[in-house]
This record gives sequence, C-alpha cells and structure tokens, in this order.
Amino acid sequence: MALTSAAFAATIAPGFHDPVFQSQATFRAVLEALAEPGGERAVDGIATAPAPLSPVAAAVIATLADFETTVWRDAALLTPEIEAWLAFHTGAPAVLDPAHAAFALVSASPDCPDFAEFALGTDVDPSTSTTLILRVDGFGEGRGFRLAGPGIDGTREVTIAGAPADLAERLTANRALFPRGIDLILAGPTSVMGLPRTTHIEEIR
Amino acid sequence: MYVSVKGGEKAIRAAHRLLAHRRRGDRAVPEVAADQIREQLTLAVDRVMNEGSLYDRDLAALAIKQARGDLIEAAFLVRAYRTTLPRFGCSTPLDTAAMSVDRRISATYKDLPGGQILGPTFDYTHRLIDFALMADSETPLPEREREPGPAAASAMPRVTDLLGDEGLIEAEPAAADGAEPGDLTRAPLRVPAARDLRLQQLARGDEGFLLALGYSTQRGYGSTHPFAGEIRIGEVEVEFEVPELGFVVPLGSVALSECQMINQFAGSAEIEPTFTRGYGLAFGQVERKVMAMALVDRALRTEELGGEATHPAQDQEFVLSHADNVQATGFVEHLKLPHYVDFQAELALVRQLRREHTAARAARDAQSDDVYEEAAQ
Amino acid sequence: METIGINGSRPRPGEGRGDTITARRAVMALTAKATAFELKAVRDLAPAGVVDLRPPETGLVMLRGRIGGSGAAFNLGEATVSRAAVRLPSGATGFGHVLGRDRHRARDAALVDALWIEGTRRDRLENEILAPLAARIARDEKRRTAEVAATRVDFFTLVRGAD
Repeated sequence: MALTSAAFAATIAPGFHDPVFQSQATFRAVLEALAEPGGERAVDGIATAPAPLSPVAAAVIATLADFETTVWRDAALLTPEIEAWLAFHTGAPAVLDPAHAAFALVSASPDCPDFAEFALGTDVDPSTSTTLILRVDGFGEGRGFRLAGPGIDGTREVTIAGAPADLAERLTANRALFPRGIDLILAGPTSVMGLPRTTHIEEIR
Repeated sequence: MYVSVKGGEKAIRAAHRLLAHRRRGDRAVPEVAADQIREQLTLAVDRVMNEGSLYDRDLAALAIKQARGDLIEAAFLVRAYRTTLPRFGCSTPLDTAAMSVDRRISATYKDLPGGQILGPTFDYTHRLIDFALMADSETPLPEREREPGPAAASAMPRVTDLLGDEGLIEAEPAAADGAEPGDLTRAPLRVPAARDLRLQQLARGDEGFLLALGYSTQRGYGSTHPFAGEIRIGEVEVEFEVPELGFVVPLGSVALSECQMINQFAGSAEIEPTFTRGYGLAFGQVERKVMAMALVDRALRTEELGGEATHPAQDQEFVLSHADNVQATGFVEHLKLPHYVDFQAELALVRQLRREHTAARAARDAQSDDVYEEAAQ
Repeated sequence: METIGINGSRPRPGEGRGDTITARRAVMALTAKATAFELKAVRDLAPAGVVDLRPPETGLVMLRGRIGGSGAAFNLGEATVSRAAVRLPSGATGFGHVLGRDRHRARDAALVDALWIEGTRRDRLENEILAPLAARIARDEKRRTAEVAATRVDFFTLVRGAD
C-alpha cells in the first residue's frame, strides 16, 4: 500500500549516504559473489536500516530493487518501518505471493518457504525467477558444504552459520530445474556469498 | 587462419585529438556554447531529444556540439547517457488537451473554436536566404495581442473530439483496467506489436525514414486519404506519482507536438463508414515528424481495419525494425570494423572458384575444339 | 497557469488533508518551474541540522502519452528528473522533484517543501521566494500568451453574389 502519511516519512531512516558509489560497490560485490559461487565479498551495510532487516541485506536490496521489481518479505520483515523504508529507498512494490517476487528478503531462515514457491522463471525467460536474499549468521563457521559448477575451479568448500538445515537438499532440487530456478544471495554480517542456480552443492558431514 | 587485429592505440589517441581540433574549427571564430545551441538551434535539439528518446534540452545541445552537428551521432550519445541513469517511474499520461499552445492549426475546419494560431512557423516564409542574419542585427521583439483572451485549453477543443461528438470518427478505446503500456526499452520489440509499442518506436524513430514512408503512402503505396485534422504545439505539464507521498507531484512542463490525422474509411460489413485516426506525438517543435508519424501510424493499422498490408508503410516488421536510426547506424557502420578474417576466407574462396572456372572453361574449349575438328574431318 | 494565493492565503496544515495536499502541490508546481537562482535563497531560511533523507540524485521518468490524445497510455520517451528528500530537525520532511539534471535545484525544492510543511517560517518563505517566483511565472506566461495570440488568424469572408 502506498504510504500516504507524512508521519511515516518523518520516521524513515536514511539509506546509502552516497547512493551512486555505494550502490555500485554493492552491485560489484553481488556480481562477483554470483560469478564465483562460495566466495565471500565484503559489503558496506546500511547500519540505519530498520531491524530485523540486516544492514547487508538492506544494502543489497537498495542496490538491486527499483520501482519495476517486486519484493517479497518473510513474516518477520513485515513491519510498517521496513515497508516504509523499502518504499522510500527502492520504490519497489511489495508482494505477498512469493511466486510474483523478483526479489525475496528472508530474515529468519527456518521460516523460509520452499524454494519452489518462488518464481522459477520459464525455459524461454529463465531470468524472470526470484533472487533470494537470505540472512545468515556468518561464514567460516557452522555447517560445511562442497560446491562445484561454473565459476568454481574444481570444487570449493565453504562453511555457513545460520542457513536452513536442509539447504543442500533445497538447492539440489533447485539445480534440477535448470535453466529455471532461483538464485540465492546469502547476506552475512559484513559480506555476501552467492549460490546461483548453476551451483552443485553437497553437505560435508 | 589467424590475423592480428590488435594495435592502433596511438593512432586512435591521435584521431581523438584531431577530431577535437576539427570540431573546434577555425580558432579565430568564437567557440559555440551549448546554451547557444539550446537557444538558437532549437529544432535540431528537439530532433535529438526525440531520436535520443530523452527530454533534456541541455544534454541534447551538448551532444550536438560534441557530435560536430551530426544529429544521429548526437542521438546516439544521448541514448548512451540515458542507460547510465536509474528510472524513478512513469508520468501520468500527458494531457495534450490542456496544452498551453504555441501553435494550433486545422486543415479541416476554418472556424474552429479557439481559432487557428500560426505560432512560430516557417510555413509562410519565402524560403529566401536571409543575409541580414549574417550581420549582428537586432531581432525585433514579437508583436503582442493586447487582449489575448483565454489561452485556456477549454477554449480549444480537439478537432477529433468535435467529430467524436457527432460519432463520425472512431473512439479511442481506453486501456483495459490496470493494463500497463508495453515498453520496448524493457522487453524486446516483437511483431506484430500493439499500437502502444508501435507509437513508442515511431516517436524515437528517424525523422527522415518516417517522412519517406509517410510520403510513400501519399504517392499510392497504401493511401489513407489523410487530412491534417489538427496540429498543436506547446507546453504540457508533467506529473509524476510518488509512491511514498501518495499523491501526484508536478515536475514542470515539456514542449510537445501533436498531430491528429483524420483518414477516410469506407467501413466494413461490421463497421459503419467513419473517419479513422492516425496519431503523432513527439518532444519539442517537430511538426514534420508528427505528421509523418501520424501517416505511418494509420498505415500500420491497415490490417486491424480489415485491409491487407501490401505496401512498405503498412508492414510492421519492415517499419518497426528499421525506424531506429541508432540501431540502423550501428549495423550499417559496423561494416567498417575489421573483417580481415572473414575477408581472407572470401578471398581464398573467390580465388579457388576462379581457378575452377578457368579449368572448366579450358576443358569446355578443348571439347568444342575436338567437336570442330571432328566436323572439319 | 494555476494561480495560488500569495502571502499566507494558502491553508495551514490541519485544515484538512485534501486542502493541504492541494496547497503543497501548488508550491511544488512553482518550485518545479523555478530557476536555480530563484530557489537558492531558501538555503538562508533552512535551520542547521537538515538530514538528507534522500541525497539529491538524477534519474529518468518515462513520459506517457495517450493514443489519439485520449485513448490508452503509451510510453513516449524518458525525461531527466532530479529528486531529493530532506528532513528538518523538527521532523518536517520535504520532497523535491524537478525536470533536468540540476541536483541542487531538487534539494532546494525539497527544502522549500519541508519549510512550507513545518510552517514556522512560512511568511519569509512566501515573501522572499514563493511570491516573487509566482509573479515572475505569471508575467512570463502572460507575455507568452500575448505573443502567441498575435498570430491568431482573423478570417474575413468575401461574400459573393450578395443581393
């Protein structure tokens, strides 16, 4: 819903203080993260973003979303403050159906819907699938995964803390849909990691 | 076969320097400023805004200066610039009925409400070169009407609305609820294209191409029996919905030209005889462009009005694929880029074909010599 | 040109949201047509501690026309637009949107909007910026109308065979 109240505007926190350079730097980080899956790329988060929207997820969505892209949020992010902040800084229309989302923000990973509930694209236009921005606790600790596929020389091992317990199964099912399927951007406390639909993943027990 | 195509950096740098030098011209002559181009070469600026598909007078003027007056190159520069900017949204549809007019004429009604207003037109000039412009002469101020009367748009109904009130011209259907117009800058243009997309492509299309196509319809390649129902040129207010404000904000005004072409239509089994429309709308004062656009718009409607598209101006694929001069110049001019490898292959092929041709002819000659000799014996 | 009341005849905030929006839009219509120079003076009226909620930026707005002037919308082409949003220490938030690439103009327009909403400096805003601006725009409009009207054709009909 459009914000009609000036009261909201009075409470909106600023976004990037230097929109051009910060959004370009964030875009570069996301681009590299998706080009070299499993690599960690530093992102200068937006500290003033309303909680529980993480600063890094806020920087990513402020960079990628605009008035022509739809954004879906999980239940924890459905606050009026976040609604107002996203409307002001991205202009992106909010959607309640994940299948209509160009981007999805997931803050509480156990609540993350099945990936197949998001837009998966079509064989003709695989680019119309959802890009998921999933908040995680960090990298370099937690569960281990082995990755392979385009952008990875052989295999690569990564550790991710706070990801959904069944991440490997979810992404394997997603990989089977290729060229359709979602792309995943993991937003840590200070960095992002990309797990695009092309990446094969298995959990290291 | 491998042919090296690297190198030439030094030559390119020098070519840029030479280009800048030639652009400057004789340094004894004062340099032209972008604001002089904006104010005094206004119609060139208007053309570049349309073909560059970006309303920004200062930018178009600067592009004209940078391009040494090559208007297609200038449009190319403007197009490239626009790709660097984010899009904030869309305006509410511009209301040309509420235009503050500079010019408004009709070829169909002499005494139309609001009158015929000539505005700043070349129409009645004698096309004699004015050598007075070579001197620093004072340009006289324009005349002013003491009692101008209301310029309000309500005093100037559209000619097509006058015909519409009598039901003599087809109505323009409104969009289906919530239907967003197509945007060829977001999704590739595919034919057949709906009229919204066709008009978008024509508005950014090359004026010369549209002029030639419009002319072809008049010369019998798909005649539409057109009348210039109304041409209006002037300023229209732009409004933009700001979601976070929840209301529509004014952005200022833009100059537009609009042409309503009225065309005869004999009707069909289902449709009564009526007038049909061709429509032209573009940035700035571009009367020729919007007239040609309206002719081509109507020609492209041939099939939807039950006709058969047999002429170039009626052929969507032909018109829409070739209207954009930035695309056209890119493809034509790419031919000067290195094709060394392709050409080496062609060269080898032609040499081989010639060898075979020579051998075949020799064999044929030898055979006919044999025949001759046999006959002689 | 839509005329608006000058010198405080605009409704005050709280007189009803519809009226406030109408009046606010009228102020925005003026600032959208102001030159950079005409708006610059607003910086002297702004208090210290203005937050750039949206730092001034330039982008595009797709201008839409209507098919045949009155039918369904179509995308005509884009225009450059600059925008900004500022918040005063009082919490009043102002938005500026202007055609073109002058980001300072957009921020100055946002300051005018914020100050107008806040209301405490409205008299100075009226007297020093808005009233002279409205007068200049009205003068330009009047002159342009008179110049154009001078090119209106007066047909006189020669009557043949009158008896």
